Amino acid sequence: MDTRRWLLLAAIAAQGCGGYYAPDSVTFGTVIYTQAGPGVDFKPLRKLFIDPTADVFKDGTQQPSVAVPSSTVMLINSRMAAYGYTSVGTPDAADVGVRLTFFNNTVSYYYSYCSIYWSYYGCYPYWGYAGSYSTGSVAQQMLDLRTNPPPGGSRTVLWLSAAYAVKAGTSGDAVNNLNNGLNQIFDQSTFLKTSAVQ
Amino acid sequence: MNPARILSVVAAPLLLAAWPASAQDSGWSQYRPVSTLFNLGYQISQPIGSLHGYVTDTSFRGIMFDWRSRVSKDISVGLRFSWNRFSQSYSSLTTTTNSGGTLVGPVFRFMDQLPLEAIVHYYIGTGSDNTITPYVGFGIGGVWSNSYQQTADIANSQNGFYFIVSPEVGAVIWFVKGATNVGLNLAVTYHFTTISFRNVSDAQSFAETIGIAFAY
Repeated sequence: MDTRRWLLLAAIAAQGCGGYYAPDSVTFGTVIYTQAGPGVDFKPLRKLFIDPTADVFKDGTQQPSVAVPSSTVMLINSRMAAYGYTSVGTPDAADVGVRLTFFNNTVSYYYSYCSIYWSYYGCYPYWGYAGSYSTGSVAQQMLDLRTNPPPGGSRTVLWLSAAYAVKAGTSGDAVNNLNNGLNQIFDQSTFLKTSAVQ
Repeated sequence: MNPARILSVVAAPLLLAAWPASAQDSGWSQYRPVSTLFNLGYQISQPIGSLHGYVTDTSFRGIMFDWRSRVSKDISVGLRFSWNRFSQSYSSLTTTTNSGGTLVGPVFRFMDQLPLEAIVHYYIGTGSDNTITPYVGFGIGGVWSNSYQQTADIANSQNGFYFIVSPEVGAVIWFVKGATNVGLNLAVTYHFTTISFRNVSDAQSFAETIGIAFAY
């Protein structure tokens, strides 16, 4: 009986003490964004061109383009094939083109206890903590290659997607992160299916 | 006549006459309604309405403290402070954006609610021999709220001061009665607030209190 009472009290205490900070699964998690262009019909699309190079931005500044890892190209090929797309070697022969963009950023942060939440106890001296960390994201867009853009204009974006905080890259673990992020993007983008698989 | 018998015949009326006078003089057994009552309690809360759409989990983080002073035999007025935290982690939450896109990711949310209210209570059955004192009450005042949402390393928080009303039913089960009374306080309180943030408007909740009551 005593043991049960202690277990109950311990359970209540555990519930009461937690919940103040986000768990690591949230802080180090990845957020997936996907959006189809307004009114886009994916059913008649068939031929896909995967751009072998990706744009790179670091802290807002564009860097030289990099080659997309071969495993990533294979992944895009297989996932798009499942939706009814056939990969072609040149953009001229394709209905749509897919291009990746990497964003690598350094985030600086400063947290102060000088707020009403902490009863302003950190206002003097200015207690707090500061630091920085690097993060990375990848964006993927599908462009309509069936018609040429108007003079001075740009091609229509049929699909836009992104994996935020995936720490994506073209070497080492970053490639695995990139491919994991892309897999989640394709999982969330079932509207890409063409009539070839329906 | 036996001397012992004579003594008992004389002593019996004296003792019988002396008892009531003795009881009145002692004072401690005389009934005196309590004038001041303090409650300290632990609260469990359930979000309802739009707040339930923000956090579905029951809150196990809550405390309350109140002070009540009787203004008549059945009515008290006082002040109450409480704190409740509603929090939840979602491993994967899907959100549709205004532009028609879909966001999917892990999310951590919490909302703190700290009301300070003027309270009034009406007590049913306040006799000296009652071990249970049921009551109904009403609180009105201000509430400070802080809400927080985080997904990956993106966090957003909002805070503000709002209005709150909170009707309540409860009972005190007295287990020590005397000059100072001690009892178990059980209550259910409905919180209606004007707290609004994100998709939450007029945050509402039920809170169940278990605590200790001191009265004198």
